[in-house]
Amino acid sequence: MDFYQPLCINEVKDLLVQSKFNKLLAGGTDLVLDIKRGKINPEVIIDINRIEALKDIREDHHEISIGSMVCFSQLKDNSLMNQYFHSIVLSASHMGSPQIRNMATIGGNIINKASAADIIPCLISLNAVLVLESKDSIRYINLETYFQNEDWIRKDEILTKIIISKKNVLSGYNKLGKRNSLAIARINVAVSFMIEDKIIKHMSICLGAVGRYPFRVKELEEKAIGKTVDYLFSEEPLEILEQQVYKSIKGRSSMPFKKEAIKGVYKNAVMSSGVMK
Amino acid sequence: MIINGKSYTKKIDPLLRLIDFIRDEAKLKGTKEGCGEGECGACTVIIDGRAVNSCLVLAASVNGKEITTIEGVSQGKLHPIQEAFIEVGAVQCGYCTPGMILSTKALLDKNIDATEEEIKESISGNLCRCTGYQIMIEGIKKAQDKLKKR
Amino acid sequence: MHVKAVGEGFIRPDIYEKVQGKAKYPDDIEMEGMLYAGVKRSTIPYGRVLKTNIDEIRQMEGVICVIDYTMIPGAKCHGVILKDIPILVQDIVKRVGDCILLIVAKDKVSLKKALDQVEVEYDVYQGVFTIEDALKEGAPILGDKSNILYDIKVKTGDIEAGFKEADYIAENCYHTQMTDHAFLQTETAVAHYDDEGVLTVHVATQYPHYDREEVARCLNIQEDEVKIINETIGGAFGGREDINPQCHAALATFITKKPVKVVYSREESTISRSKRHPMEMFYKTGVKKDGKLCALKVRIYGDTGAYASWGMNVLRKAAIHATGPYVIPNVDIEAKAVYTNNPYCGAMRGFGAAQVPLAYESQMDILAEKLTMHPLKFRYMNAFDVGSQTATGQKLKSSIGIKKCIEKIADVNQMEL
Repeated sequence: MDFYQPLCINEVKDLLVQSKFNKLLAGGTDLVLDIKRGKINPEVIIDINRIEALKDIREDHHEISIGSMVCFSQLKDNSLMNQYFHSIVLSASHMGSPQIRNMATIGGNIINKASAADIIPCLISLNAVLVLESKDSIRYINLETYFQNEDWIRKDEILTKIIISKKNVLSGYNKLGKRNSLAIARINVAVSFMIEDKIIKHMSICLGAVGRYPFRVKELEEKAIGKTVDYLFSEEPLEILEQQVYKSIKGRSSMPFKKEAIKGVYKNAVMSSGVMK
Repeated sequence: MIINGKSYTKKIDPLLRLIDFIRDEAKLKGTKEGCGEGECGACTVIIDGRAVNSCLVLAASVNGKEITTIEGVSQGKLHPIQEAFIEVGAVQCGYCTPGMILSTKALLDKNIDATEEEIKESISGNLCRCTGYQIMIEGIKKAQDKLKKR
Repeated sequence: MHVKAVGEGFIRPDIYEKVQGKAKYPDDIEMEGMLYAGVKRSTIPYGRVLKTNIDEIRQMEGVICVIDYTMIPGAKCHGVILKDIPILVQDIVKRVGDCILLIVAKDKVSLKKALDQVEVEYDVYQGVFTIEDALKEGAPILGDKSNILYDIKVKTGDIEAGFKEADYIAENCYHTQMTDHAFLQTETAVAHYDDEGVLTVHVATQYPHYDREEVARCLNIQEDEVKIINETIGGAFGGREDINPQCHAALATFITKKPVKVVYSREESTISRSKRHPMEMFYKTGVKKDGKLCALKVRIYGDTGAYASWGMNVLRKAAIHATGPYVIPNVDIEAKAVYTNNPYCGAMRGFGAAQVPLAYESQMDILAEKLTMHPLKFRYMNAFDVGSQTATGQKLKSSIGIKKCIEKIADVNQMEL
């Protein structure tokens, strides 16, 4: 068992090529448990906690890039996040506990691809793009496509950044858990909108924990375009969501509950985006 | 690794958890294990000013960092948070107490004026099965007063 | 006599150590040359152990010894009332979590490796997991001749006449779930021989004197050859009444002559410990037009799991409290504790008195609605007072606060009773 603590990304890329049964250690909140439970038994652990370049949140003309090792507390308190992406702030503040938020990272949450992962629906609804780097390539993959095509990160790659366009959007998030803190989402919904004169110009909605992976509800997104914001609280969106949840988890025992609960979580998510203001 | 200002140098298994390093190698028994999976907060310690669950951290990963455990909170005399917990009686079985005090310290070191909401949020990762929390919130408020008067 | 403590705030003496992390819980004890022990538990709820790879485990590096039931010098089972919980099973397992082999190793890592390597071959039996199934004819018998551990009846007045008088009747079934104490400090024991050669067990327990008796029985030695030291207790809530690691640690020390520590993980703690009884409660309550309760028929079934523990006491308490704090002249109550292959149930805060309020208070609300009477007023009319007689025949002589309590609530709500 070898343990490496590289200080720069290039070092990581080299290590990824050199060792076969390796695991990257990000926040560790899942990895340490998996090791303890004997679920995984890596030969090499590459601890990427010392790479400062992965801990930045940067603003560009058109976009914001979030380093993969940015932890949830950082997301929650970051001024750029608070200025542009309300849904990310909400999701980050409701994730785990203060201790978990101090450790768990945005990159770890994406790469572990849990169906109930808190931040993924937000990132998908904001059309986020992943930057996957290896020794000899760099790939930009839209997060939604990443899940749809199950085009997972390769063994020699590291997720370095998540890029989100700065377009002036309103965004919201809501999560239903079994208790207030430390609850894994039973359902979560992320929305984002572009609104002009109370008319919806663009809508994106992503549902989490109601299927294998989070997914967007295109039918609702298309129907919403050109309508006033009041449409969001009419019966039609609720019916579409109910149908979508039904279709997605038909065989599961949680379906009857979730197809109803989705409506409340959706309404809360829309309200939290501030579209009504 | 530096725990409560004291430096520890040891060759360790890379899979050793921080809590095991603290309890078994550094022999500091105040840090408690309750669940071993980040749910209960009994093992909370402060690393670089932030509260974390030491059961989810690999000791090797915090190589060289500064760690504060409950033993480092009262240096010579009781910390105002400890005094406040004593005065209001915010302790029953005591097993969650070290973690609870460290979560409180992490909060008050940053934000002495924390509101009741922020206080509740800050200890939301620490389970207590005895008290029902209300008395702890009272204790934390009292600690704020004490710290401000200092 | 003036008792100074009552009504005055006190600083508890143990708090100074606790806020500094200096309080000593069993897992904080370390001793020179200490070994670690742990048990392999059954992963099936009902069946017979056919074979284990005990010889292979004995050869593993770091394993000091592996103990099976044949190596227990004294009693093979323990229990607070019936001695029915195997310290190590002979062959039959009745629940997930029954103890099969006790492994003693030189350190935690070797112990974990050894426990992970244990293989157990079972003849798996069809178990029973609901009260209904356990009471069916032909169900496997888990107790002594039947699946009913305990059966109590509380009767007063004439139940049939009582229901004849009733103008309104509410008949409902209520169900409560199994719950776990989830105290924060998992079960841990450290055993060793002290300077005088007395076998000493450091543990966090609710009954050190019971523990001493059980350890002495298990080792077939006199009670004065055993010392139990109660260290700081990290929560209990009834969950530390049945003993858990005490006999295992003592047995390992008895055999190896070395200090031995047994620490449960959260998973093992949750699997092994007693639980709160889930109860099925069938309630039929009759009331007259004037709001006076006249008849109550109750049938309570508690799932007591695989072993007796405090099952009889818990169901007795449920039966006694089944009327709630209300005067009812005609009562017919039966309560049964029923064995299943679920985790065994025992003491937990309230001890049987915590389940029945769901039923009797719901009945009160339902009847108040039928009577179109305010539920608080309805309760007040029927509440116990000094001089009332309970269904068990007890005349209440003092300290009956329920009416006073209701009056205060009415005051706050500015309503007339």
